[in-house]
Amino acid sequence: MREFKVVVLGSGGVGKSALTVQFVSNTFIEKYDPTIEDFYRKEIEVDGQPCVLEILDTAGTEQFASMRDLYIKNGQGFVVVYSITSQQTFHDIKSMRDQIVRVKGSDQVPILLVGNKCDLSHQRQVRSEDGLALAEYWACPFTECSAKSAQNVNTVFAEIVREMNYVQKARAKQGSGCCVIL
Amino acid sequence: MSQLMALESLYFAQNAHHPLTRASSRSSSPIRRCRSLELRHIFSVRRDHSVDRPASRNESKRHATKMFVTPTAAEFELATSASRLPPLPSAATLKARLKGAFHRTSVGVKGANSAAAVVVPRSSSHESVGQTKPDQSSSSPAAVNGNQPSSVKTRADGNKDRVPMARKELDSCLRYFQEVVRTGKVEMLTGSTAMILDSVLNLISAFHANAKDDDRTTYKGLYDAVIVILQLADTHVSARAAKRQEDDAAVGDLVGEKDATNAMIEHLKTVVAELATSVAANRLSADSAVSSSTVGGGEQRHHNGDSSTSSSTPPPLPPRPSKNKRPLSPDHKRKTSPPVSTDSGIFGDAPMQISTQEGGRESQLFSETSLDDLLAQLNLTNKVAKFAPEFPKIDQDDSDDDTTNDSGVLVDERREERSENHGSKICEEEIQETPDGRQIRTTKTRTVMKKQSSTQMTITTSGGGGDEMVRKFTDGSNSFRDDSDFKIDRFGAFFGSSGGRRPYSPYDNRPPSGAEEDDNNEVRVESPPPLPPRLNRPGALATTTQQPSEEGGAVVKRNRLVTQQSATLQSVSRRATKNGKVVADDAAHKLDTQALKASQSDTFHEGELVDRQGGGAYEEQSLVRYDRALKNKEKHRSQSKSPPPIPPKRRHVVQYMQIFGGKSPKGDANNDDQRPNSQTDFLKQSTLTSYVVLRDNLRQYEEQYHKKTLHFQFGGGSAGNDAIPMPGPASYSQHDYNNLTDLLQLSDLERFRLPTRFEGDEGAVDDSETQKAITFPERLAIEAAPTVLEALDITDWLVLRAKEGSGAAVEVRGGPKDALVAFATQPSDGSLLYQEAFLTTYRTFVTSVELIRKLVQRYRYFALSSDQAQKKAARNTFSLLVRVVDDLCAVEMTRELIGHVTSFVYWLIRDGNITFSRLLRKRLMDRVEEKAGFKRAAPLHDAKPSTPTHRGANVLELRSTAIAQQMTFLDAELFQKIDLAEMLWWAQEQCDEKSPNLAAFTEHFNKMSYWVRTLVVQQPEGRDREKYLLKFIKVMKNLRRMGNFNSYLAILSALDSGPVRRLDWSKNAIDQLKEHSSVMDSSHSFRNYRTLLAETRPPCLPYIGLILQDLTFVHVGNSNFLQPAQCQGRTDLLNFGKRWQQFAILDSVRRFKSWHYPIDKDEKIQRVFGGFNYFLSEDETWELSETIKPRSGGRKSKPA
Repeated sequence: MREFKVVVLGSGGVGKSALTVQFVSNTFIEKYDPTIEDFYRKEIEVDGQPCVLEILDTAGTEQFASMRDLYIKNGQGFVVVYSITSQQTFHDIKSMRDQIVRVKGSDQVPILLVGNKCDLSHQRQVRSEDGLALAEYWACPFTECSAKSAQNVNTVFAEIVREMNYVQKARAKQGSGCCVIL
Repeated sequence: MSQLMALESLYFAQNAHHPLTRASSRSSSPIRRCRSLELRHIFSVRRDHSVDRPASRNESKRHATKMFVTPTAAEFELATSASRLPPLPSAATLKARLKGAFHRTSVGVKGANSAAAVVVPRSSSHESVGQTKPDQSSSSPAAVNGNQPSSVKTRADGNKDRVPMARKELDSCLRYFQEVVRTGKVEMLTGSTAMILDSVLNLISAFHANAKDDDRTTYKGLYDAVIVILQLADTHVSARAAKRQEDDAAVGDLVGEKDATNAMIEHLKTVVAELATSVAANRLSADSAVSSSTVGGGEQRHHNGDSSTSSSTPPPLPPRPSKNKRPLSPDHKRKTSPPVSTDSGIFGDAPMQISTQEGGRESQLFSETSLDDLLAQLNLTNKVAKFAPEFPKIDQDDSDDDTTNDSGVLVDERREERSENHGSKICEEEIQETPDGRQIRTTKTRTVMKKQSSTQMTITTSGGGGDEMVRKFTDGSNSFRDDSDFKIDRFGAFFGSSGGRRPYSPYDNRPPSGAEEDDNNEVRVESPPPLPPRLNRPGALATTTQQPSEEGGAVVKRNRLVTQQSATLQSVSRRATKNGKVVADDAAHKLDTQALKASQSDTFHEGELVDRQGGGAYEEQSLVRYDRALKNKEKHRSQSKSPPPIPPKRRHVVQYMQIFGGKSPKGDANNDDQRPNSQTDFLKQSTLTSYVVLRDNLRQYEEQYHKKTLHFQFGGGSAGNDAIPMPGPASYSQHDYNNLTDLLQLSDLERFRLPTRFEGDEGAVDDSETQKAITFPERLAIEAAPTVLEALDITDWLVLRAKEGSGAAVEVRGGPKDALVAFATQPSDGSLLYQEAFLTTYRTFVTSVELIRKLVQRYRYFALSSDQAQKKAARNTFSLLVRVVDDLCAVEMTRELIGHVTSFVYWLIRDGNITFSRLLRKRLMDRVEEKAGFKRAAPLHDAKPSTPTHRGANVLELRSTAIAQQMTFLDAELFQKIDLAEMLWWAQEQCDEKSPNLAAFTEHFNKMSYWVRTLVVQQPEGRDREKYLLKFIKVMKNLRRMGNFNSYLAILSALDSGPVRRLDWSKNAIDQLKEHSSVMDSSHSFRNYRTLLAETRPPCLPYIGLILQDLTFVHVGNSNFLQPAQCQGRTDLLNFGKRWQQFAILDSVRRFKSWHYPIDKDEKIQRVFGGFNYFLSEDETWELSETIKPRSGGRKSKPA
């Protein structure tokens, strides 16, 4: 079974951890321990292909800016999250792609842009169009979701798997057989 | 080893007189957990000693006086010198007097209880600065003037004598207030309210003792005045605290503040006048009470001698020549009075309280009232346990094949050496002072030195066809020396120097020779022989000295000083050879030290004990060190070059101690994948369990390197002299530890026991009800069912998990807010762990202000009850409140909170509970001070960044160990400042304002990382860059060895960062770096790092980021409340399982915080760091990196 390492990035307070928790546990049940290490691994089936996602969510450590390179280095696909209720968080991630691309040393990095908290549409500060525009600029897929209402959460992670598959194929086509990032 | 030797010689030095100052000089010990309290104590001890030498009396007196000067005193002196008023006593004198008053009158109930209470006024503070003798001395008991007082002593008699003293102090206070009013320096108040409070409250308690209970209302005016003064001071303090919080920007407030100050002064003026009036009024009533209760009119006391000072403006104390009277209180008075620093004074009138400083908190309080009780309590005869280190097993199988020699005979030789050095010195000194000025000094000293060594050799011969043969050899030596010395010196009018040296053995219960000294490798330190019962004390020592016949009826003082120190060094080494080949060579050492210093001062009148004061400190410490392990000799050689502070054998100790039940520690977790999936391994995979393991590991070390410091003080008590129970982490039982793992298992909901009572059913708690409850607690208890906060047993309201087996252990799983609060005040049923968890995590469901309000409500409900169980509940509630106040963070020091606590203090005063009010106020003010001091100390690094080239050269020149140490020094300093609550808040809100210290720590981390990248990337030459890279890898190695994962990761994140990593490096450098980057491999939730951390040996600095991440996930992943579906639809039941998880994480952090690195600041290296303020931005670093090596379309730029 193929294994993907997905890094969730974004400023503090965008609900990254809630997104991860929602995806991994699906519902808030009482009997689980969110810090069991296997908690961050989940098996899903995307387009008929089963695979394992290992999610690195560094929620709580956003202030350790200097650690970000280390985290990025460890990842294969990147879910970049902002909150649609905060323009600031949208602004914060604008340079994120550059950072990822620089660290990975490749223009072709699987990235997915996600606007979280779409259940709070009455507090919306970032229009969907803005998100879409940024995604087009980054040449990556975009979606809005809500960790709280579990809306689109599974889509997000399925989409990043597709993106990783896509980028890998594109590279294989383009590249001369040199190995992909390890 | 050399360090241990040094310690040993230090300890056994013959001229060691001061165990505590010795202790303080042990700064080079591997683990140092000194607390400031201890240092302060040392200070006062030193002072005590300086008084010993009569020749330097004046000098020491000056020294003693200096002790009392606090910063505000300087202001006071300035103000006084400018004044044209009649000369006031200097600030120092005044303060000394105030403090003296506190200690003097704190005899209180104690003296009264022993039914004989005559106290000689101590006027030493006046004399000590050459002040004229105050007229009050004329009011000292008639006995002093040679009159024979009536043999019938009444309770009132004693109090009567105390009243004028307390009154005198109060007069000084009034003068002080007037001075404050005159100069308009309100801030002077804030520095001295504690003392003022003490002296006023003491006067009140002195009055109290005279009055009957129903007279309490008489002093209402006095109480009120005190409260107003406190209010003024507190307002000032809280305004300061609030101003600091409002970012010091409130300059506009200054005008308003001035008005407020003026108003305050006006207010103060009236209050001081009122106070004076009420003092005068009370004085009259007290005096009448005294004279009415005096038996035998023949002994007319002149205690009214000072009534002239009772006007609202007390006149300056009239000078009176003191020649005509022999000083009653020789300087030794000071000597044995308990340490007079304000912070210990707080315990002054509780019977006796010992606080164990362990993990930074007081944990135990005892209530012995004499030195002998104390010595019995400490049980210094306890033997030092035989040290039996666990050496690694010698692997038999490995070597069997290749070591069998040609003849097929296997010779296995084991040699074990054991040596033990023990030295102890007990010094007991008694000084007896008679009223005619004589002094009899008796000194007993006993020094015991013991050396013991033994060697055991076992030779096993096997193979060669014959039977196995085992031969054993033992060899040993012993030496023992016991010196005792007894000395009596007499000073004074009648005895020139008739004392002298004469042989004496004070330990009659033991033969002085050490021939029969036990040979079981255990050391016994004999405790001083118990003294005769206290009431017969004057005659006790007199068996060896001359009993002054004219002493009958006079006042005799006896000061007793006990110092005791002992040190035991045990060394064990083992060497095993097989056919002449060394297979194991290990050594371990253990040093146990104990130091006690205690003093007691008794005052006797006519053979009856009337006053007892005392105090001291006790410290014990154990250190364990391992040496040499053959397998890693190479490694050690390189490590042993590093300076001693951090024991270099950390990894091996981990192996030896077998902390993880035989699991071999490993840094890289590649092998972990092959672990069988047993139950323990499942647990190991849980991150939270890694915290539990970590916690257990730390606890193991805490036991091994334990250091216990006790401070104690005793004396008479005044009103409300209940001992306050202060449970703390030290009193966890083993059961609690095992329990934590259970508590984290959240999966068995079905076994929950749901509450049988619910809050809503009984009506909401509101303030009006509280008021009623306070006024008529009894009635209310009958009429209405108590609310949760007013219930004695809370368990009915809680969600508990039934524990199979013993029904005693209660596992709290949830409950309504108030029930959780109230249960924390119920430290029974092994719920101490709950209390700790509550204190660590309560901020997730109740604010500190609200909690304080609830605790106050609970206290007030129970405090007025006469029922013992309820009184106990009140005390427990109070002790929880004190702990809450102790742990407050800077951000919580709001006006509102300070107001809540201070108004509770006022309530306590009105209630007559002076001990509690004083204690609580002191704790609060300490906390305010501490937090106010924080901001001033904030600019940690003020070094200016020098030019990069200049600094660059320096980094390479410095030794890697030194760099690592100085980085650790900075980290540790910042780490210590972080409050646990800050981390808890951060995981929920990510708010810089609420977590300033955490934010500062994070910033420091980032700066360090960017500084390192900058240094590497900035070098234009590839060779130089490589030099820097390798240098920092070396520094990282040292950091890892020191357990500083914080700086370790900061550097790793720099060397492994994009701009640095992409450059071309030699294979050597890349290989070295790879080894380290595997530590921060994120797979399995950073399992590699967690494993490494869980096995590390403290002191240690963890990577805070991961802790924050775990806390964040615990917060997001668990609901705050229990699911309604699980608990009959209730929605108000908080999920305490979540809090157990948070506690498991934070308690490890707390334990990390309790360790300290024994590193001193090195200015030179710190200058090189320049506070890590010089660095290029991330983009600039990238630019430089891409200039060095242009980006080439991606793939190729990655190192292989």
